[in-house]
Amino acid sequence: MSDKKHIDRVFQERFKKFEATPPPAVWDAIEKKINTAHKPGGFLIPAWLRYVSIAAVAVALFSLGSLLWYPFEAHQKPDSEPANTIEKITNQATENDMLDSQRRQNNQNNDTINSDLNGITNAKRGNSMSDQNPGAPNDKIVQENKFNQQKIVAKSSENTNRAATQTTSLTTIPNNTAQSQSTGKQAAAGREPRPSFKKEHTNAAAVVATYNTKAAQNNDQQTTSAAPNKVLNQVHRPQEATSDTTAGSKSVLESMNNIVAKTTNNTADALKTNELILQIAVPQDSSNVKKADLTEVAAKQDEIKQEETPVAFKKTWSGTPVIAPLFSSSMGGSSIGEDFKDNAKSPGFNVSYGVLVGYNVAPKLTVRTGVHQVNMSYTTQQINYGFDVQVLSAPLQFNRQAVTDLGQSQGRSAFSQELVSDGNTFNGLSGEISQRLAFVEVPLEVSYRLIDRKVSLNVTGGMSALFLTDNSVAVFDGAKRLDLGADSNFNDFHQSANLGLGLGYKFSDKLGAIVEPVFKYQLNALKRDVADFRPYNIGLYTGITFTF
Amino acid sequence: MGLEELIGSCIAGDSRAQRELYTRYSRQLYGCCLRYASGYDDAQDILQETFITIFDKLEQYGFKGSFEGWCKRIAVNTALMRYRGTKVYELLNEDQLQSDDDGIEDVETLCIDLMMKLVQELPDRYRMCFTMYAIDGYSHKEIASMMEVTVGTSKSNVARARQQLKTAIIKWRCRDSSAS
Repeated sequence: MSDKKHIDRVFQERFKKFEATPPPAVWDAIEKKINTAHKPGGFLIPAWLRYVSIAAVAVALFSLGSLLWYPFEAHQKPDSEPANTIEKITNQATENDMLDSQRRQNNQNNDTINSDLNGITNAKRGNSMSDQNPGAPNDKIVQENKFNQQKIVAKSSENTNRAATQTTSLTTIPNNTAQSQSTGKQAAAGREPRPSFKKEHTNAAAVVATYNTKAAQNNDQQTTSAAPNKVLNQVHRPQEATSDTTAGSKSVLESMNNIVAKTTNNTADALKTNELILQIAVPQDSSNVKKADLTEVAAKQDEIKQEETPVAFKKTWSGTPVIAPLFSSSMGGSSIGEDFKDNAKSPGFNVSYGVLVGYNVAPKLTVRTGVHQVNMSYTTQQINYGFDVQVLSAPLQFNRQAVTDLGQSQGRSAFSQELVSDGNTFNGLSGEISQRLAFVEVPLEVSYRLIDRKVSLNVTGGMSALFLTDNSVAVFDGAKRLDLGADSNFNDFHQSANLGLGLGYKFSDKLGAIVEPVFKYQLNALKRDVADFRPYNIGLYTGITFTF
Repeated sequence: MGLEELIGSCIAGDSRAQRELYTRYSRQLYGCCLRYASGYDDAQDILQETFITIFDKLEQYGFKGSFEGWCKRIAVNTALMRYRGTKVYELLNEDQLQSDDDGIEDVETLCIDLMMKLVQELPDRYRMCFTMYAIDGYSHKEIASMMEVTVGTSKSNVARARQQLKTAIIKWRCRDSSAS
């Protein structure tokens, strides 16, 4: 009488390693399609560009911060301080630097150890995947382990005054005990463990701990260095009997405990070498593995699988009509002359509107451009607009030589003189001078989505080209207004460096809304910038985004 | 060429690297596609779509899990997408399904071609659930999530697939014995 086999098991065994050679036409079709996708219109952006963009935004933020805060800090510093105070501060700073440096080195060491452990874990994965040559990966792990030890020893010698023990990362290692239990359950149900089941049922409690310490004796060192290899070799033999593995793990656990105890006892002279210790927490009895643990592990595996699942990304275009209240002012200087640097200035409140067009080049990266109509104004108060007959032949055309600081001009006789025009006497105006400008702005920006969900958060950096379209100057004295034409000192074309933080909301895949405050620092606004004029504008751009 | 280097070259658009990647993984993935497809033509279409997706999304592979697993998951997803529109079979009598004997005899006489044919002849939803559960080791919860059905439906589909496979094997044996 022949044995019955569960139908699942029969199919699983036959199809487990089933492979077949596809016909050559399949590759031809794939090649054709991927080549088409990469031709013009596909607009392939290199992967490094997104990182460069992020770095550029970070640098821009840092530069801006320095620019904004450095002048204030410079003013706040006292001109003279007692020498001993300065020395004290310097010493403190040096100590702080040293402490920071040590902390950084600690972190670097931890990072290195973490990455080393990850490397081992990765090697482990590679081993588990390779059925054909089981010996080689173990050798590789042993080599890596040695390399890690050398690395850690080298780092330890640099940090002799540090704490002896450092706890590092946690990572999971497949637990043969848990697996064998699962195998037993499945066998009872008439099925063999499925391939992915082997992967999934790992022991969540398995811990890899690294102690960055030194062993006091050579025997300890030998024990310690042998231990990880032993552990790894055990870990990488998933088909071994459960009892062997459990016993081996226990012995390793005991040896680890001994080492830890010795290390603790010899802390005083325990800074000569570093040892990598792998400690595996194995349940004392395999039957004690609870279902709850397995559920947790399964949940974790689900999460990992979800992370691994590729999210469909489609390169899309978007159009956003935007409107923004615009605040324009300057960080210092004057657009009129050096004498007006300290005059009170009123910021301009205007409007900018236009269209932004974006192209989603990567899952979180959008390159965008557009056209905006921008109005700005700069108002300088406490001025007097008068003119000298001998200097000016056309008094109603703006001439910056006719503008003077109200406080200073009162003592001057050269201004506020009379000029007869159309039979009227004009004595000049005292009040404020307003320069009103209009530009067509063409931005080129890169936007990176920090949060990419229904509500998104974007950081945007880039440049704008500003083309001057309207330029007028007027003087007010509270009651009267005198239009003076254009100020020829403004460039017809200048640029701005842009930085924004946008909040987006998706109504649907096709429709969304954005609110984005953008700071724009203008460069080369004036032809002759004698008074260090540093204009900027801040706009709160709001719009509806259509994706297509 | 190491995997990391190979993937980097593929991302950079190196056609030779793309060919190399295809050569390395196409056999395994084609085997997977054949199990999920209703025939060889469908399997080739799924394999083609799978590799196009792989090349398109290579940048998203973060070396977190095995590359083979990542590719296989894309293949399974591609197959699921292909048959997403097919009818969902609801559970009618779970007790009856669970009490059935799912054992078969003389498994050595079953060749791989026949088994593949039997799987491919299953209704799409049965085939998907059975392959995912019995061969590729997905849980019913995962299958339910991926196929947008309930866990009960997934169990029902697997049970019905078993029944159909068993019936088909018995029929084939009868034909085979009468022919000989």
